[in-house]
Amino acid sequence: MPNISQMMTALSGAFPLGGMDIAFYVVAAVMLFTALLTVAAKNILQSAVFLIFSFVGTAILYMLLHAEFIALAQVMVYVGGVVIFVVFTILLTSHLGEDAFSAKIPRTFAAFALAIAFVAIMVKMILPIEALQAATPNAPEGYASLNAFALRLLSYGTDGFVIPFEVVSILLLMTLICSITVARKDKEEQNREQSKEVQK
Amino acid sequence: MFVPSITNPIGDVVREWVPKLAEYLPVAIQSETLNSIVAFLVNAVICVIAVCAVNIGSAPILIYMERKVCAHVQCRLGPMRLGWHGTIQTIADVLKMLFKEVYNPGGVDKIMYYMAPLIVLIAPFMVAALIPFGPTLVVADVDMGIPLIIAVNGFGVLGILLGGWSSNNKYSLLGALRSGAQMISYEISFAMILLFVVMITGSTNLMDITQSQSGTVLDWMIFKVPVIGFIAFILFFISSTAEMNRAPFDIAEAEQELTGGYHTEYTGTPFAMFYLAEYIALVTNSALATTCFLGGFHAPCIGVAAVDTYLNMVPGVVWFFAKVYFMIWCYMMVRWTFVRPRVDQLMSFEWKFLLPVNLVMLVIGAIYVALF
Amino acid sequence: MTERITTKQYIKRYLKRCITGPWSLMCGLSVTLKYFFNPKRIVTEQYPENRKTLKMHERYRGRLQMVEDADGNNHCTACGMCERACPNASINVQPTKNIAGKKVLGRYVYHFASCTQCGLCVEACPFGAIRMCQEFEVATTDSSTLEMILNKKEGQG
Repeated sequence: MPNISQMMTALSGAFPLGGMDIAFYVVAAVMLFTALLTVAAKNILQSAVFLIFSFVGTAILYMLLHAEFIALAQVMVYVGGVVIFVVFTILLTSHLGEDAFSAKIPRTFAAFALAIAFVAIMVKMILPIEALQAATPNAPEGYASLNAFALRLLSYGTDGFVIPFEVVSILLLMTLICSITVARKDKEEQNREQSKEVQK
Repeated sequence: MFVPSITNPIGDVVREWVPKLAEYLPVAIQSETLNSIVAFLVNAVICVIAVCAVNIGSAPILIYMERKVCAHVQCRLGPMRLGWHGTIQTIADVLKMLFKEVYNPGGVDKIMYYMAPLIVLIAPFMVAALIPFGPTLVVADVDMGIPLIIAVNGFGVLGILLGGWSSNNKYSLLGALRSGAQMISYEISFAMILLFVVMITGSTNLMDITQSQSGTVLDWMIFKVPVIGFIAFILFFISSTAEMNRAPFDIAEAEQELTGGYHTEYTGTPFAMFYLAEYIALVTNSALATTCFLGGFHAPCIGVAAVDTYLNMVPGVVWFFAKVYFMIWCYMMVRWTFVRPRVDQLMSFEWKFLLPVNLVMLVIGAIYVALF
Repeated sequence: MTERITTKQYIKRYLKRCITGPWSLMCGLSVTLKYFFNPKRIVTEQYPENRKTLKMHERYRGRLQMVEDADGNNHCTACGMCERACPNASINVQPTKNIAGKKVLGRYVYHFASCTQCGLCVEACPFGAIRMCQEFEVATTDSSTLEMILNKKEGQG
C-alpha cells in the first residue's frame, strides 16, 4: 500500500512545478471551455462575452509565465478595448435574437478541416517537448518587468525599439486623423442639411 | 517561498503558528513546502475576508452618509427616526433590498442578466486589494499597481453594457450605451492622470507612490509639484467622477430621462450588487486619490516637531480612512451641487477639454522631472 | 443649426469659458457648503414629535374657512363669485331671503373631498369673506365629515 509520502512524490512527479502546473491546467481547461462556448453560442453577444473570459484566461497564462506587463496589456487592450468595441458594434448594428446564425454543412466541414490542420501543425511544432524541457529559460530575472520594457522601448541601438515605436505611433495618429476625416461632414453636405432644416 | 514583500503582523503570526500546529500531523506528510503553502492559503483567506469587510462594510456607512449629506445640502434633516439620528435606517434598507424577490422580466437573456452585476463588481474589488491602507496593511503589493487598475476598469464598462442589453428594455439599452461611451472616453483621462503621478514618482507600485510622499504636508503629491499637482488632483477628481458614473456625470442613470438607465429592470439582490459596486467604486476611487495625491497613510505633518510627534502617534490606517472619508464627502458635495450636463456636452468636455489638458499636464510633468 | 464663427473667436470663447465655467461651479458649491455647515437653515419639521409647538407657515393653504368676528358674523353676501371661480365645483352657495326680502347667505356648503386648496375662491371673493386656514391635520375616517357648512349664522347682507 503506497503511503502518503509516496503519493506526494508521485503527485510532484506529475506536476513538477507544484501549484503553477495545477494552475496552468485549470486555466487551460477554463480557456478551452470558454473558447468552445464562444464558437458554439448561438447569440453573437454571448460569444463576445465568452471571448472575453477566454482572453482573461490568456492573461492569467501570461501571469504564470511571469510576464506581468504582457498580461495587463492583454486585459487592457482586449478586454478594455477590442471586445468592448465589438460589443458596442453588435449592440448598435445587428438585430439580436431575430436571426440566429446558422452554418451550412459544407462550411462546417471546411471549418473542421481547418481546425484539424491547425492543431496538427501546432502539435508538430511543440512535439520536441523533451528538448524544450532540457533547455534552460534564457531570459534573465526582471526581463519582462515594466522598467525593462520601458527602457528597451525608448532606447536606440541594437537592443532598442525607439524607431518602431515612433513609426507605430505615427501610424496610429494617421489612422486617428483619417477616421475623423471620414466621419466628419464636408461643407457641401452641411449646407445641404442646413437648407433642409430651413425648409422645414 | 510565498512570503510577500511587505510582511504584516497578522501574516507573521500565521506563518509562525502553522509549523507549530503541523507538528501534530503524522510525520510522513510534514514538510516545509506544505507548511508554507498552508500559511500562504490561510493568509490569502484572511486577505479576501479583509477586502470584503472593508468594501461591503463601508457600503451601509456610505449610504447613510450620502443621505445625510444630501439632506443637509438641501436644508433637510435626512433619516432621523430609526436609531440615533437614523443610523439604523441603512441596515433596514439593506435588509429590505436583500429580502426582495429576485425577478427577471420576460424575454431577458438570463445568463447575461445575472452575470452583469457580478462583472461590475470585479473592478472595485480588485482595485481595493491593491490599495495600501497602512505601512504594513496591503493585500497585494504588486509592481504593476497602476497598469492593473487601468486594465481592470474595463470590466465595469462590460458589466454595464451587458446589464443594459440583457434587460430587454429600451431605456436600459440606451442608458448602457450612453454609459459605455462615457466610461470609455473618461477612462483615457483617468489613465493619463495616473500616468502623470507615475511620471512624478517614478514607480507604478502604489506602496512606492505612497512612500515617496512621506514627510510634511508639502511632500504630498498635491503640493509637491506646485500648482500642477493641484490641477492634476482636480482633473483626477473629474475623471474619476465620470468613471464611477456619479452625478454630475450620471447620464447612465439619469432618472428623469431613462428611469434608472442600465439597472431599470433589476430588483432585489442583483440591483443591490449594482448599487454596491457603485459605492465600492466610490471608496476605491477615494482611496486611489488619497494614495496618489493626499499622501496615503502618512500623517499630515506640518514640519513642527512638537506637533508632528503627536500626529505620528495616530496609526496610519486612521489617517488613511480620515482622508478617504474626506474625499468621499467631496464627491458627495459635488454630486448634490452640480447639474447634469447633456450627453454631447459631456463628450465634448472630455475630448475638447480634459484630454488636451491632460496631455499638456504630461508634458509639464516631463519638464518638471527633467528640471528638478 | 450652429452659428458660424471664426477660429479666433472660437479660441477666445473657449478660453473665456475655461475661466467662467469653474467660477460658476465655485459659486454653486459655496451655496451648498453654506447650507451644509449651517444646520439652523434646515426647514423641515420633525412633525409628530413637535406637534405641540409646530406652527404652520402663513402661506400654507389648508381647508376653506369663513372670516368671522367674535359673534360669528360673516361678510358673505352670497354673490356666488367663489362658486364660479372654483374649478372643481366644491363650493355651493345657497342664498336665502331675509325679512326685508333681500338676498343673503343661507348655507355655504363646502365639499372638502373635491377641493385642491388652489385658493382661487379666496382671490375671487370681493368682500374678503373667506380664507384658507392653517389647519393641516385634516385626515378623517368618515367621508361624510368632508362635506361641511362653513357659516354659523345666516348672512346679514
